[in-house]
Amino acid sequence: MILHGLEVAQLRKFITPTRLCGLGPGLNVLAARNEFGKSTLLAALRAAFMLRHSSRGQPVRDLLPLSDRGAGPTVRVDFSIGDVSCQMEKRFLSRPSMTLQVAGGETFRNDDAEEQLQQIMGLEAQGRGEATGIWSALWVTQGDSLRQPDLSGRAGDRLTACLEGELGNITGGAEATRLLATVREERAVLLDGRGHPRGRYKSAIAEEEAAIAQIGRLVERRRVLEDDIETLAEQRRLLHHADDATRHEQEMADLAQARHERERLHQHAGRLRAAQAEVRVAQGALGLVEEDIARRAALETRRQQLHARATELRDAMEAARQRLARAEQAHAERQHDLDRAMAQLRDAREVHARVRRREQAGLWQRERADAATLVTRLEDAARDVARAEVHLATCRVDDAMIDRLRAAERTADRATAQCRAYATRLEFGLLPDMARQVSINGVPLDDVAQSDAAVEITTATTLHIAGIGDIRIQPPGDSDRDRALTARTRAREALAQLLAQAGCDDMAQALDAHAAWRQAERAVSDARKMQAHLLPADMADPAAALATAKARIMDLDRQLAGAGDDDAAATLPPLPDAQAAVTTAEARVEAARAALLRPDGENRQARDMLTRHETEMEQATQQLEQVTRELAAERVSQPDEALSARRDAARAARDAAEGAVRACEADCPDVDEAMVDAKISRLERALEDRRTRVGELRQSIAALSSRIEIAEGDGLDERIAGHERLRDGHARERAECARQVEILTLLADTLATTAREATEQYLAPLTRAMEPALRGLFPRAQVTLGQDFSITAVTRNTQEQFGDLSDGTREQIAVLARLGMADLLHTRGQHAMVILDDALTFSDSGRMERMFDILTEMSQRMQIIILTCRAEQFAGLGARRLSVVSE
Amino acid sequence: MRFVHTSDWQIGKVFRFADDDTQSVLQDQRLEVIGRLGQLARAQGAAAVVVAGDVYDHEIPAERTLRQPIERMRQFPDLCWHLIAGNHDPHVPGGIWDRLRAIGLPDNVTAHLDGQATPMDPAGTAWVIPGGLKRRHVATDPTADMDTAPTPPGVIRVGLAHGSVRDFGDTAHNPNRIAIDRARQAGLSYLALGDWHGMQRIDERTWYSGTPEIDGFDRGGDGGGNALVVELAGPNARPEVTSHRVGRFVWHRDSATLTGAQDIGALEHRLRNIDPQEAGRVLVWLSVRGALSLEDLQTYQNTLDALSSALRLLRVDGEPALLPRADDLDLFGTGAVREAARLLSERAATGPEEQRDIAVAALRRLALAVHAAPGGKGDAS
Repeated sequence: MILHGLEVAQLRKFITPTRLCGLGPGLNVLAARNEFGKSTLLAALRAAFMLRHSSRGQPVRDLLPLSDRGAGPTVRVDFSIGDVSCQMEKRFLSRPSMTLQVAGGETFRNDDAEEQLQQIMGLEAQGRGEATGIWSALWVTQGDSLRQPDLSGRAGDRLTACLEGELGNITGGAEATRLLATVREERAVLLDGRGHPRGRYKSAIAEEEAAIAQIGRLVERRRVLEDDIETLAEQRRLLHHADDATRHEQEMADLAQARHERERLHQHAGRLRAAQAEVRVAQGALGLVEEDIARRAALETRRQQLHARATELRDAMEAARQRLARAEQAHAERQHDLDRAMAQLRDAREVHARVRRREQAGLWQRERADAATLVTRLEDAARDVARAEVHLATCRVDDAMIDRLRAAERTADRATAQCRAYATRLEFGLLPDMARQVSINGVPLDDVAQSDAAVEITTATTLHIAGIGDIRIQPPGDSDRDRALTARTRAREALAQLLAQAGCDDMAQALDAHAAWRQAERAVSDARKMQAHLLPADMADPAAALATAKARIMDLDRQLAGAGDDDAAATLPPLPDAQAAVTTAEARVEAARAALLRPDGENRQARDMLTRHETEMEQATQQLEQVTRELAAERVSQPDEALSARRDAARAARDAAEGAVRACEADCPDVDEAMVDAKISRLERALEDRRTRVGELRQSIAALSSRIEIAEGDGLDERIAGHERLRDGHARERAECARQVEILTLLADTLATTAREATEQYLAPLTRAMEPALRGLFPRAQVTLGQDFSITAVTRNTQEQFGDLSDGTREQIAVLARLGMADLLHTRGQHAMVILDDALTFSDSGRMERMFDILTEMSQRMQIIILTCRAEQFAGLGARRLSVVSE
Repeated sequence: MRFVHTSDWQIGKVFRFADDDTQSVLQDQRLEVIGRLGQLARAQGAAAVVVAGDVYDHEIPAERTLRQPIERMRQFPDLCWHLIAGNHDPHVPGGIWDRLRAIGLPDNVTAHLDGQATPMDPAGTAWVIPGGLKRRHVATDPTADMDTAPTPPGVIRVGLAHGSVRDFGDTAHNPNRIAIDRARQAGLSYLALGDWHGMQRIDERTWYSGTPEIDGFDRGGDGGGNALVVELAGPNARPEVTSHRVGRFVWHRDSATLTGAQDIGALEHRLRNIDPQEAGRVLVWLSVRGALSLEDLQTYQNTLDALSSALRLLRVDGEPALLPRADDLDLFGTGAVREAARLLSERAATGPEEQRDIAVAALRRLALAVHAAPGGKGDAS
């Protein structure tokens, strides 16, 4: 196939009709800058051949210009295949259409044209309006040169046909591959990618397992049901046994007999307990009588003892009373001594108080005199300070004023000196008395200066010399001089103004005034210092100190008035003597009190002894009276003879009761009560257990019957059989699937083996076609092809996987593979044409030269179009130079 | 006295080999045949129907299954139905018969569970002496008590039992064994037996009725599908027994060795003529052997597809192999596919049987794929 012309319009950046010029057989190179539109031209060419005109898919929409989304991208192509020349025009999206004009033949339109084009080009319809073929592999778009060509579908078939044609027979590899794909698809229905069951195979396994599990559960339920049925039968048997009326009646009779025996035992025990109680009563009566006799003897003994004790106590009480009287006499004497000491102490304290009041009044009078002196001094100091401050206030030239005056004076001096710099100096050297002949501005020179002095003139001045005339002196006009004059005038005015504020006529007077201000200030300071010396340390305010002193005088006056007058105060002893008298009186009081309060052992002992003897005497008397009354009362109620007769009767009654107990014990039944109780308990428990057991069994039987009824109603056997049937069906299905998998696997493996062998046969020519070009670039290199015609490995020194090669090598090999395929197709009489868009970008200069040689050699047999942005690199290719012309 | 003798209804039986549709139909017909038995009894003027055990297939059927045959019998109140327990539904405590007793049987249905003789019909001219089973397998003769079973004098004594009077091959263990001369020993006018699914005459007074609806391919005797109408003129009269067809389905087992199209045609003809009027009543279990050419294999497959659609059930064991002849390899064309077929043929001729079987199946599948493919070798030829 040879492309003769390509024209595009309204396609991406090419709005106006744009034509690719210069196309011809052999090598063609379009070298242009980036974004020139080279890839757009290739896209237009691919669209013309591979996309249906009616397509509205994304590849077609990508052809639209950005500026006009409603446009109809148009491509016109002139080409020839073999001896057939064709002209094709396709318009997409907006009013889509296609025309195909075959030279010397008819013109096809739209769908007919598409069909005709596919037949001519060997294109394969590929869904949604796209078409592709071997051309898609040979027309390499930008960025695709690194990838190997995709030779699926008809492209692969076409290549395969070429390869098998060379073998001279049909290898059947394609048919085997197709059948292999079918077999694998069928197997994929049963197995997933990892060889695990899927679909109905997986379902069969899962459902078989589920059925087995369900059968297990049902069998378990049936086992439980059978257990329940057996348990029910056993419990019914137990119920029948437990509910036996004969046994029940026998046990009831035994229980009644046992209870009767126990009643007899209880009656005998009652009688025995009554006899024993009689014995205890008789013994009690005898004990009481004997106790009465013993108590009466004890009372008599007690009465005699108490009488003797009372006699002893009366003697002891008399001795104690005499001893107590002596002790109380001594205590009265000590109390009198204390009263006398207390009176002396009161007198001494009275004298002492009067002496202290006299001393205090003297202190207050001295203090009042001091306070009055302070008040007088404070008032004098305050007056001195006030006078000094009034004088100071009359002095206006203080430090600040004198500083301001001095500064103004210095400013006036500087301004005057500056004026002098600009002044015209007239120096006079006049004869004596001639100065009067000279006047300046009407003022005689005598008044202005001495005759040999000099005059500085700063303004226009008229110098009059009598008899001679006027001399007018005009100082040179200058702005600096004017400013100096103005400044001097202002400085002098300021100085005069300040002097006026100070009330002075000149600076000397101002200095005197300032000295007077200093003197007044020192006077104020001295007065204040004097005043400060009079103030208390904690009080800085003179007025407050004065008020405080006055208040203290008034307070002292009040206290002195309150102290009153003591006419005999002068006769009183000094304070220390009065204090000593008080101390002496207090010592005497303390000594008397100590003597009085000192423990009086004799008095206490005598009193305690008397009290104890009185208490004991009282108790003994009371007890004696009590015992005497009790003895008398008892003998009145029961004489001693009657008490002895009562003791004899009680002893006889006790002996009779003990005889009755022995008779009752001899009459005891020959039965053990504990055994009878155990028998009754056993029988009662047995009857109760039977009742409980019967109830439990009936409940259990009812529950079991209900459960059995439910389980039986569920039809376990029938359900087990149903699930066994399901299990068998799923097992058969699983086995069938496994067998199918085995069959399909064997078939797939066999077909894969034979297909691979066949592929290896027909890949050999393709390998041979590629190797010359490949060895031009990589000497002694061999390639390994896969069944999809892709290069899987390259063998140089060692075998390297294609994916492991460098970008540059992979790109060069991918381009060489396309050239090899195209060459093979050409050799087999098929149509081939190669387009490379921006390919070989990763090649170094050495390999690029060799690629040029290979391309040049290939271009002798087919058209090769190279689109590149590197014009200088492809300049050495010696190819046709293509150009793009827009209308 | 005229009555109908039947047995082995086995209501609720599950057919494991059948698909769901067939299973449903087969189970349904086992119920429907009760109606046909009742109609047969009416048509023959019989007053009673004796069922010699195995009314149910399972000891623990579902409630609906339990009630279904009872309700069918209830629809014939003019007939007395006499039931005993079989080895599939023995009278165990808390078992199926207790459940029926709890439900309550219709007046016209009698379950003989206590071994007591009972009048067969209201007239009392014949008495049923039952010998039902109380366990699935009993070591003693379930009819032993019939010898001494009291009945009014002059009545017809009809024994009703379930068990085997023959050795079914297991000589070591043969439960439920019935004395072959029980009718004579017990003075029975007729001994109605159940257990064997094919009808069988033991002697002139001892019969197996067989199941009224066949339930398997190998059931002995005539395989079943019949009921017996028994007429007894008196206690000592010779019973007149006639067999009547009541079953719906025909169960047929066949085998074929296929070597060519002629054999396939013969097989198809044979199967289609089992019941030419209603092939849907026919269930077939076919065993196939032989080897066929690729073309015949396709024919065979088509025939099987057609027969499977025509018959109620077609169960096939085995399959014919593909003839591994040299000229058959030509059917695979040339190149890789032919080579694959050659490799499979070699594998099919050697090695263990399982390997050969898989290889044959793979070869057959490859042949069918090649033959069926558009533009395949089959089309080309």
